[in-house]
Amino acid sequence: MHESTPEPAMTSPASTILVEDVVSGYYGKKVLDGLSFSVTEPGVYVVLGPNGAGKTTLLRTLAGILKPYSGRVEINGVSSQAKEARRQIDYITHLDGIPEGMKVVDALRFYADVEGGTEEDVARVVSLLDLTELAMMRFPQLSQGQKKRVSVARIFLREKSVYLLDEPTSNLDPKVAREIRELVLQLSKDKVVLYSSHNLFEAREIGSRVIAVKGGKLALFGKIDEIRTQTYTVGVRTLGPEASLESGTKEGDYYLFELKGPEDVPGLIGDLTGKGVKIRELREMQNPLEELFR
Amino acid sequence: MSYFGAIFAKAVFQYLTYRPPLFPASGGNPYELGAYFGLQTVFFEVGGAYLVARYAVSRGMLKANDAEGYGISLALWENGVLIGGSLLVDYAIYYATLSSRSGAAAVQMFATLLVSAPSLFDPPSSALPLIGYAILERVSSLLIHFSWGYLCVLAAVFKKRIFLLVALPMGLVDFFAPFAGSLGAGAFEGLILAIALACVTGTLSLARGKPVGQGKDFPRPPKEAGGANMGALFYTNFRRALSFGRIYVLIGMFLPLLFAVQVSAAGRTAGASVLDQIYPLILPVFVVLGSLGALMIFSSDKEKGVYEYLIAYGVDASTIFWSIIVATMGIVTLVLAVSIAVTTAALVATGGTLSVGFGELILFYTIPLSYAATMFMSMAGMIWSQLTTRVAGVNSPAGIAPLLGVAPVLVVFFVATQVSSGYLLYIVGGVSIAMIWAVVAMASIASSKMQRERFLSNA
Repeated sequence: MHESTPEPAMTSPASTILVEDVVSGYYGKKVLDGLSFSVTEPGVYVVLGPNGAGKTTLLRTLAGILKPYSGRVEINGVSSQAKEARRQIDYITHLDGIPEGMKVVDALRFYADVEGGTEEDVARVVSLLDLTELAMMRFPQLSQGQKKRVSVARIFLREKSVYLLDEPTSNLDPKVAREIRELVLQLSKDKVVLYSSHNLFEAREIGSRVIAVKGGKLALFGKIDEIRTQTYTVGVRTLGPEASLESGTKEGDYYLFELKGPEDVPGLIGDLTGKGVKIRELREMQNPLEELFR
Repeated sequence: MSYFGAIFAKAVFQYLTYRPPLFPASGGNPYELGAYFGLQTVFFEVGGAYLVARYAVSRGMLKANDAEGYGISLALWENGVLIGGSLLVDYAIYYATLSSRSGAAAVQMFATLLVSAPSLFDPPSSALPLIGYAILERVSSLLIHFSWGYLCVLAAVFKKRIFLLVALPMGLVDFFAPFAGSLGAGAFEGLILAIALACVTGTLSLARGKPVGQGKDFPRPPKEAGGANMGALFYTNFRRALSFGRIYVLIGMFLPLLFAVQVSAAGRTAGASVLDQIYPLILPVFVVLGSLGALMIFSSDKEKGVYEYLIAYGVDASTIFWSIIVATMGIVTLVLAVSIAVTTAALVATGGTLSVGFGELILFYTIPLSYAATMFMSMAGMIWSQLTTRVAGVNSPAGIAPLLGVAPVLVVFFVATQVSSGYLLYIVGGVSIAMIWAVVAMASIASSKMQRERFLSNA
């Protein structure tokens, strides 16, 4: 992936988001219930919350996909429902959103056309995200990481002032996830980026401010350091019973290990394999957000 | 220049060709005659309009926002000058001559007009409906000329073949001219008006959101989000639907061929009889099957989150819905054209003739029901997809919806074998009309129920 920062096509004014007493949801059922906050400075704002908290609904409402039942949502002073506001926003979901059967370059052309971009925009993005080798491949031929990279590439087709990214690194290996976070960080120098995640450790890596949502309401809006983190617990499932681990805590088939954070995982794997433990699976067992939202 | 060039070219062409041995003095077979007139309009009027527009664009004399004016001017020259002007002169002469009420000239003109235009002497109660139909015909003409003129300019300005490819077949409206007498004034004018409305609707849908004031020689400001959506979506969806559902398109186009070969093998007379009378009733089944690709891409795009992105970029939910319908119609046209050509060729090859009955079945049943049944299938499938979570395989909306499309066709086929042939046209015509109404009703329901949430993925 190239290290260069995406070249802005034009200078955009300062970006603002206003969310005032918003009630929103699906088919009349409330998911967000009286949510309010405002963003006035560029940077990455991590939208945190457990599954079902309303993160995706918040981003969909900001993107103008969902119309709030009540309250006010404004992007740069314009209602999020107006096309003028939508032109200020780029958005990616946890879904790739690439039309089936298309080649990578055709998918980018398709979105460039819809967004009012040009062939030059497509060429620039292919170069920027190092997609040249993938350009003529069809989407099903790509790995999960490559698919996500193509999906993320869309947001660089046209310059926007607000970026809404819904779990852009979910299901990605750490290397690709880190590459994508680097791109987002480059974007956030003069843009507002709302980045949803349910992983507090990822949040601490990418953002300094947090919008925590719980039960459709605002649980916290402020600096990420204000969130008290507890221990980080991972579970290791082995190919067979491991006598050397039996003295530790066990939950189902998983032997539990308490770490300071994900950065300690490679060390743990090294220790265990050094002892001859045959690891079948390693997974995060306890999410610090459970503590936050308890 | 465009219009009168085309009319002049048509006149010369007809002077050279519309005579024996190509055509008998009586006019000949109405289908051949229809094709003769229709293709002339396609090449000379629509093609000519495009060439003139292209020349004007290349010289900087025409821009996209002149498209409406260009289309309307074609309609004006046809209706206001060529037909209106010449009729005005004719009627002035008739009136001046006949109002003298005496003299050999008046008597001779009266005798001539009594034979050539007896309706001129109808009482008001009979004349008024004819005047109404004549006005309707001019309105239809205006709409059709506007449509192809508008698209020719867009094709020339934006250098997009899709506009020209949609405009050219509009000239085939003149195919129906030889049928005016056999159909009757009401049915004929109704048919032409329906075609005209379809042309205008298709034109405006295709050109919707197309930025004006732009072209090769004009500065092109950045397009706005969603600005190019309908044309881009239609074209992309059509291509993808063809690719995605290619196996179904092949089934739709080549099963008729297989069937025709099989029937032909049964013997020349029997084969021709089956193809002539029964085959037009079955063709819509193949067309419905062949057009499944667009519904499949709707189902796939919804689940993959494509529509969530499009809506976020400002594309209306209704635009997404109609882009699928338009893509479906494109495939129907393709499959129908190939299937009818194959059937007709098989009919001729097996010793049959192009009878009026065969033509009526194709015109009043096969073609309208193919469009209506396929639209019905697509709309039902899309609404169903929107209302349900995804189910894979043949139980999915895309898997079951074709049954909704082919059901009325099969019912008609069954009923047609039970009744005498004299009732056949009434049955098939009635079913066609009922299906068209069902499609209109479903379209209005879909429009009112088209919440954006319905386009979000369930994944």
